[in-house]
Amino acid sequence: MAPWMDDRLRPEATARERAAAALLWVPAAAVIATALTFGERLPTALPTVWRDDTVVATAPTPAVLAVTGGIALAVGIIGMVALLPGAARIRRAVFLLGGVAGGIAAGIWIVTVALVLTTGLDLPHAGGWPLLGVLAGLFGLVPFSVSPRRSRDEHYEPVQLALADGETGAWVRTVPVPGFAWATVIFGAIAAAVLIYVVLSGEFGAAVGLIALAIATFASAAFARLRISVDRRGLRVVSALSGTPLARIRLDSIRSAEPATIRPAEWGGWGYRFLPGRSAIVIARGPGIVVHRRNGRRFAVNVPNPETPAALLSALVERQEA
Amino acid sequence: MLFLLDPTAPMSIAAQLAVQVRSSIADGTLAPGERLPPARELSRALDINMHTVLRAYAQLRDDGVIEMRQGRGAWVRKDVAPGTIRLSEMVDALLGEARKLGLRPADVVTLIERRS
Repeated sequence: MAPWMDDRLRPEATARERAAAALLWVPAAAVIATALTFGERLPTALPTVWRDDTVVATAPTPAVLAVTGGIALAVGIIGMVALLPGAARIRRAVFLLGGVAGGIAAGIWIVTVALVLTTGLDLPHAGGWPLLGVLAGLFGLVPFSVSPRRSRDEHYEPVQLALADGETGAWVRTVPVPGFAWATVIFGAIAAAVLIYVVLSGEFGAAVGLIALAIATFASAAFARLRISVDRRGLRVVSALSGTPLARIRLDSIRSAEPATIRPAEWGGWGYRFLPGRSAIVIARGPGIVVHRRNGRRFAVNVPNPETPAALLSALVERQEA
Repeated sequence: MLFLLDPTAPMSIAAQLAVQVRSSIADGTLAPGERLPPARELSRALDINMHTVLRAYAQLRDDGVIEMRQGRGAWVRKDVAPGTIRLSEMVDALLGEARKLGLRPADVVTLIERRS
C-alpha cells in the first residue's frame, strides 16, 4: 500500500462491489446464450462492416463469436480481479469501463445475429441497427451504479495535543516517493547514455543536453525521499537523500494547520506546485497537511496519518501566540 | 514519529527520547528497518544538545533496538520485534517499581525465578 494512504481505509470488496463484478458476466452470458440458441441457423460468415447500408466486409461466424465472446469473457474475469484489495481505488472505474467494453461486444454480436436471422439474408441492410450495438455499451453504467462510491476524502477527527509549559515537541516522518525515484533512474540512465555518446563521438555540442539531464536527475532525486518535520521552527520539507530544504514554513508565519485530503486537481497537479496564493508538494491524492499562513497564503504537503503533525503544529502555534 | 520532551520530568532527556522510540516501535508507528531522524536534525528540532540525542541512540543500539553506522545515520533493526520491545518496557517498569521498594535487580530475578 502506498505510504500516504491511511491505514484505516479498508480495501476489501463489499457485497455491492461483488454484485457489480457478478453483473460483468451478463454480456458473456448473453453472447453464449444466443450462440447456443441460434448457432445452428447462422450462416458461415457474418457481416462486420457496413457502408451506406451495404455490407463491405464479412468474417467467419466462429471468428466473430470468438472476438465478441472473448471480450465479454475477459470483462467478466477482469471484474473478478478488480475485487482484489489492491484494486480498491480503481475498482469502480474498472466496472464502468469493463461494462462498456462487454456491453459493446455483446451488443454487436446480438444485433448482427438478430439482423441476419430476422431478415433471413446473409448480408442484410443494416439501417440504424449497428448503432444499437454500440449503445449497448451503456450497460457499463449498471455495474458502475451498483458499485458504491469509495470516498478517498477521509474525514479527519481532530486530535488534541496539549503541550505543557516548557515541554517541547517534534514530529518527523520520511516518505518515499516512487514516482520521483523512477524518474531519477530514467533521467540518470539517459544522462549516462548521452555521456558515453559525447565521450565516444567527441561531439561536445551534446554536452548542453547533458547538463539539462543532470539537473533533471538531481531534481528528481531530491524529491525521491522526503523528510517532513514539524517542530518549534515550523513545518519543513527536506530531501531525505541530500538534506536540501525544499520548503520551509516558519512557525511565526503560520496562523493554523489542519489535516485534509490533498487533491492534485485543486493544487495544480503533482510535484512542487506554485499557484497564486498557494503552493504545495503533491505526491498523490490522499491525506496531507494544509497550512494557512498569516499572509493569507496556503501551503499543502502529503503526509500519511496527518492528524498528529497537524495537531502538534496547531499546539506550537497556539503556545507561540500565548 | 512524535517526540515530546518534558524537561521538568524526573527522567533524563536522553532516557525520554529512548522511551519514545521504543514505544513508537511497540505501537507500530516506527516500523522495523525505518530510519530515525538524523541526530543533528532532531537536536535542532527539539532545541537540545546533539550529544543528548546520540546518547539516547547509543543506548538504543546497546539494547539491540537500532543500528547505527558512522555518517549514515540510525535505523530500527530489521529483526526487532515490537513484542520484545513491549516486554522490555515492562521490565523497565518492573525494575522501576522494585527500586522504589528498595529491592535490587537480583531480588527481582529471585522473585521471577520463584514464579516459573
